[in-house]
Amino acid sequence: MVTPTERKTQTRPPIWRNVVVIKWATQLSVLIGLLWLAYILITQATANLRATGIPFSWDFLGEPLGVKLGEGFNTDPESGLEALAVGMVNMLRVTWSGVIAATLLGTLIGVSRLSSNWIVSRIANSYIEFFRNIPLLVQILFWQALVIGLLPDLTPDMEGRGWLFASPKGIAFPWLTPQAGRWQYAVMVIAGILVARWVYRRRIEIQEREGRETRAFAWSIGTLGGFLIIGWFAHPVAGVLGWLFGALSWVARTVPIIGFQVALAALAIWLAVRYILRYLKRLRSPAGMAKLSDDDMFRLALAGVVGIGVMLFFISGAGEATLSRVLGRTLWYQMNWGFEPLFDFLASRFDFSGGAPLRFTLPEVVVPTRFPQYSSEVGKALTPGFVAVWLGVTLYSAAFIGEIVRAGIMAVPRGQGEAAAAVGLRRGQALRLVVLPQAFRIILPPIGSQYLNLAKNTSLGIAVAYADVVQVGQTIFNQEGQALAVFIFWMGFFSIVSLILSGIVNYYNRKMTLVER
Amino acid sequence: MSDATSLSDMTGVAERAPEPPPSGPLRWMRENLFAGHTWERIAFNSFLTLVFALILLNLLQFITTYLFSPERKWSAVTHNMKLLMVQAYPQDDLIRIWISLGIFMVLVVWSLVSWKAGGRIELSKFAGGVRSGAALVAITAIMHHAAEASRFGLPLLQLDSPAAWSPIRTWIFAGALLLGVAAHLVARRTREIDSSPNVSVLIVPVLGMAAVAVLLWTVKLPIPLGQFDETTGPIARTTAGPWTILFALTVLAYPVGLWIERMWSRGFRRLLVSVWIFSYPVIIFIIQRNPILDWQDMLGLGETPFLRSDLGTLLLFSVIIGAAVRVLALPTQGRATGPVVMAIGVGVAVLPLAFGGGPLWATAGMGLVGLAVLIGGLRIREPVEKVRALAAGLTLACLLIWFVPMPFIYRILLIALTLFVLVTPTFGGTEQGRTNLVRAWILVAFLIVAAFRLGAADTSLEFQGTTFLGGFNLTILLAISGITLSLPIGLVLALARTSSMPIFRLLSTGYIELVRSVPMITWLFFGSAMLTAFLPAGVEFDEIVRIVAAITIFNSAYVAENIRGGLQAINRGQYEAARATGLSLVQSTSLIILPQAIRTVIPALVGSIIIAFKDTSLVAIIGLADILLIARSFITQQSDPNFQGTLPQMMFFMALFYWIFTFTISRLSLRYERSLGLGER
Repeated sequence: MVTPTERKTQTRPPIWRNVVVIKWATQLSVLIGLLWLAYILITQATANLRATGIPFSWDFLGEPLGVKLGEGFNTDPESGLEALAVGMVNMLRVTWSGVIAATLLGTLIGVSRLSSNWIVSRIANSYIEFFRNIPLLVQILFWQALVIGLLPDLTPDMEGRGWLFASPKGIAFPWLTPQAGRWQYAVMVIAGILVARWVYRRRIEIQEREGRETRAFAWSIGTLGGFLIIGWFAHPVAGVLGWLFGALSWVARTVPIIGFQVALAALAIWLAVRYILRYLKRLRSPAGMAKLSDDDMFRLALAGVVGIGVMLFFISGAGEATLSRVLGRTLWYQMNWGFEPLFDFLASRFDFSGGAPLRFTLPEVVVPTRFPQYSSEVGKALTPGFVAVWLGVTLYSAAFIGEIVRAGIMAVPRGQGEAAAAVGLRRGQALRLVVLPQAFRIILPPIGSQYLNLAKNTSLGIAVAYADVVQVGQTIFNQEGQALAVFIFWMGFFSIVSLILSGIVNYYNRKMTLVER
Repeated sequence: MSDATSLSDMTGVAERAPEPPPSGPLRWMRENLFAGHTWERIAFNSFLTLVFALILLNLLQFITTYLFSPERKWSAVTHNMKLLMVQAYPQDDLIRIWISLGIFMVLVVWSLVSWKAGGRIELSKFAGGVRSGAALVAITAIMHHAAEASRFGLPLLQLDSPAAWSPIRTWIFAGALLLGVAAHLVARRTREIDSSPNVSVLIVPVLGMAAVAVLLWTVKLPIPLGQFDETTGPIARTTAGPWTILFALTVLAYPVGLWIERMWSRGFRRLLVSVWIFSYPVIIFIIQRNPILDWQDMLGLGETPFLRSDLGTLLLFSVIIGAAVRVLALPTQGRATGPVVMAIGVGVAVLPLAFGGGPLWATAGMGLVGLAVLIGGLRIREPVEKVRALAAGLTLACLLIWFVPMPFIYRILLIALTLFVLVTPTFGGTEQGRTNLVRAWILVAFLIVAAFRLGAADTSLEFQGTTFLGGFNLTILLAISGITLSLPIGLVLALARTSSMPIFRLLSTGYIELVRSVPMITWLFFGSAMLTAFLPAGVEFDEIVRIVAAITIFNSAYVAENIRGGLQAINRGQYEAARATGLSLVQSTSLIILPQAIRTVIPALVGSIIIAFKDTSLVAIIGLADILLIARSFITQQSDPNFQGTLPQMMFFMALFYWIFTFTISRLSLRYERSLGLGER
């Protein structure tokens, strides 16, 4: 080894001793090696697929599938893309209902574990130890076996309405069945939520300024309730939105593609330039000096390259083709797809017709042929596949969420609760205003990753033939042989779902952290 | 799947169960079931207690009624036990499975001895555990009685009716009750003593094994008897015998291990590590697969030239190159470094020609690289620099060798060699380091050569189906392979993600996020249906190998995230202090940072091991005959009417089976973590 004193006498290290050179040479050589590897693999795959007679293509998206799906908004899809869309919606159905149920159950279990009641805390503890140590797949198969194997069969003499049916055909229960005016009513509900939020903030502001109790929560709930009740009768007002969407559709139809091209290319460059300028500004010291590290250089270069790349993409023919498809000027794989059809669709949903937007209905058993089944018109009927997957992911995730909630509550120092009591807050107030907000901040990041896991775990529905995106994809690749294309589709879909979910969690996370400062 | 809740979350869980205080059950109930200072609290707590106790009782009754109902054909489980465990492994060769199990158990015992695991447990706690177990048995017996009574429509307490009366159950109930009372007395008595007596923890597995051994010879299990009928019979000798021998072996191995330990303590531990590493390929590929090995060919006596035979390759790479690695590791004194570097340079340049040369550019490229190394060895003054130049040259050569015809194993060995040369200046500083480096190199070379030979040889087993592994055996193989392979890859990914080099960070982040964004089942589809498309024509791997690759791809991303957590938890001062003492980047990472980081994340890693074990069940979806697929489809679809319609109970059995394993692992690791104080920084 060279001693440091020896090195000091040299004026400048040789080029192969220069740390920066070594660093970048290593990285670039690894990058080139990996790109090389990717190139070899891709050429190999292309050649292999061509040799099997099924070259890689996306054509299956537009071709009729010839397969009926187990469930979904369209069980007889006309094309591969439509089938996948049904699968995606099915997956999202399980995910969102599972997230809500698992959160409620998990919170209950986490709190129960901290209960001073021996039997309650032991039951919660056993629940967690039991459910999280059994593979989810086994649990899902178990629920399926129970639904199919243990519930009594539907018989023709059960024909008629009832409150609850449970049979190997699934579980049916009363439901608020949406009617014609539901889109307009949904707009009223969203408007109600927004206004209620505004009212809440406003009341809190007044409370902080004037120091008197303003009952912000009650006020906001009242506002929302008002909107819900008045909206029930006044929802045709929202039909105005039909004109708006019509206008948007007209814009998408009439503005030439070159306009969108130029706008998006300019936007990409503007974003890149703004990012670079802000970055440079942040690095500069008050004296106006800045020293860029390799890392900074890399980031700036990357931002520039990405910006120019996006710009070139939109200007080039590929961008034009993509844009025309996104806008809906040409049909993408025969599915009515794009902004223009979307706006047209929305415009057609909003009119000024009245009537109740939702109707309370009881489930019904009908006997169309020899075999009794649930009516799809009234009530809500869940298939055994849905029940199995939903129960599986909910009970499994609830065990993990319970642990997270317990850890979060325990992580809040005891002194916080005691201090809150000392300043005169009641027990409920102390919990609501002091302990829970702090626990929530600890709970949020791990619970977010639990939600992601839950979303991914719904893919096990394939084992019980639940028609989610993975099961539909597998059907397609068994039929068409386009395994790779289906895999890329899955990757894209799940990445987007993950991004959205983690985006929501990060948003709340950031909000909570800001409160802390 | 893959839930990132670390085991450390569970710390403090086990002690939460309030022990009954010495002042009697009434007071305990007051404090834990009907507690409260105000009337409302007491009423609320009593309400909760009553409601949950009722729910619990109903649930227990439902479960026991279900389990003990005569409609359940439990012979579907007991009769198919071999199928569940090893699928269609030849009956005559079952001894191989037993031998593997024996090796595994002895290794476990010896490792416990060598790492001084175990420790002691307070007698009161032990007695408390026995009491809980006895209570469980007693409650189950009562529930069974209730189930039988309700089946025959009898009142619960009419014990004289022969229909619901079972003498064996009564004896079990009485025995459990007696044992429970005795254990309770012991527990109370020992708690009152100030210095509560200890017993070795090892008494628990020993007693457990003894109990199981007794049960093996006495208990009777359901066996199918024609159309929808079953009776009970003793466990087959071919099961009970080997297990008894295995238990005896395990118990005997303990004193033997102690004796070896006393004779030869440090060497024993190092030997055990190597034996653990070797036991995996030996058990899977030699003992269980029983390959037909062409010894003449392997020793170079057959048609292959000596240098291309296994022994020749091994000697060439382990002895000659091992010596070269040792010389390279002696940079400061080494006059020989230059010649060795130059010789390897010449070797690189000549290698393509020895195999007839590939495309011109690759051959010429190798020549140029060799020439550069040669010049480097000649002109560069400092020995360390020479070694670095050699490492750089070899790295380039590793890219080029794929285009030059040569045996595949040479390419793999050259890549391994490059890695060793890269780290030589880092770890060759001391005599011990040099010795370890050469040893590790010989080990790696041997493993590579052995893997190639064993993977290519035919098996002498005659089995149905595509693979000799199946059932629980396959589950275990997938779990162990997936975990061991993903650990080093995950380590590299974690280091890359936390490194200061942006391209590495970008690549690693991209890999991890891409892999994690998709559920595991899609990666299994990728492994089973798509991986072959990326391989050159003619190269085909067994489905199990492809699935192991897919599991590794998936697991390594999660392992990487766990390790990254540990790396980020380390104080920056540690990095700076390491650099200040003059350690290089690689040295400070591997000697200072990683040991601390890994120590911190052991609980999280155990968590991901448990998850990986649970996730192996997913291979059932793509049709690999693991234990779950056999339980779900193979057994229930047999033509025997005794096994039809048994799906719910098979799933119940599977849940219990997996639960026992994962629960045991998590409890053991919890104990281990606590004894070491892990995961607490």
